[in-house]
Amino acid sequence: MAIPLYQRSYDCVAEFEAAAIQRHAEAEQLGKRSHHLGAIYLYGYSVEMRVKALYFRNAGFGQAAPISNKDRSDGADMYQVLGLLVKPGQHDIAGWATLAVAARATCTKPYLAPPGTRIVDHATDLYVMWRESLRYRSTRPLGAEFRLVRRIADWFSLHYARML
Amino acid sequence: MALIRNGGVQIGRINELARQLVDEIRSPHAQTQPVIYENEIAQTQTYHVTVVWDAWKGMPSEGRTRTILSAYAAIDSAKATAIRIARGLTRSEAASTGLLPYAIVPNLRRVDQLAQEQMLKLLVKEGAFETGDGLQLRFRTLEEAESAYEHLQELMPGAFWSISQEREPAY
Repeated sequence: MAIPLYQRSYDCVAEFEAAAIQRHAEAEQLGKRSHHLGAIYLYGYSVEMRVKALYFRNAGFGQAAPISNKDRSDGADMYQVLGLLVKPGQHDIAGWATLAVAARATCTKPYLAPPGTRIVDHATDLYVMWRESLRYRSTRPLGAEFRLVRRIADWFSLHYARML
Repeated sequence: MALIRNGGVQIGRINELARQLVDEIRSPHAQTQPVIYENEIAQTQTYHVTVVWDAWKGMPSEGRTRTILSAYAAIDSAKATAIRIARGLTRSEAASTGLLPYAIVPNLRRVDQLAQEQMLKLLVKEGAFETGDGLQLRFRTLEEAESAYEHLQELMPGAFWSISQEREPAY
């Protein structure tokens, strides 16, 4: 019997980064066909994957090192140590972006204010609109909302290599 | 044809809000806004600053961050360069991201319409704002919420108010 689809890979930085590229490409396809809500939903996940990959990279995880649920929970629990006010939720894009930047500040190559703050700014602007619960909605987004989410997701895609 | 430069308006607004923020950092007022959370991370000698302020409404995060960094630079440039995270959030955004987990909510179902109107007016007067769950007073700590609860009880005694707490995210 074939291994169930969801078990054919495992969570790690490399997989998060590959998934981010795939979700971004899928969002573009949906956007081109004017399926804007579905596109926003997937753009959000592409950014979520990138900020989580960034956090785990900055926390010292190798490309292929498995990331368990406990690692996620432990990562979120680092919020106080890293000087954050709030523990990020599972899909809290702004929270994980903040955690990633804060974790980087403890490394030998911290982000200087502009690149670090921009990561948090763009993730925050996205998270004002995006929640994983969008999958339960049939709301029609405004054109401006779609364009803003696409612009933010494109920004993360374009600048991701420089965040490493 | 009219010439409309909206970039200039934004810069003017950033300068104006930065000036107000400088005043607030130099001599904090007891009023509700802006609330500045300045967090020093001793091991890295860096700072995280979060400013909760409804004046941010309509301004993208980048402008808010510029405002905060500009205000700190006007006061202490060394400290400004040590800021790694600068976030500006409206009260509603702060509540939705878990920064204000304690809420005083009105028990509207227990009372008649006249009392309901009184309660809502009182909440607004005390600084309540619209959240996804209706009009609420929100706080960062339980102590702040309890103090506000006691104050409300003095103004309108009875079982009109409840304190609720958002749960931390589960994994």
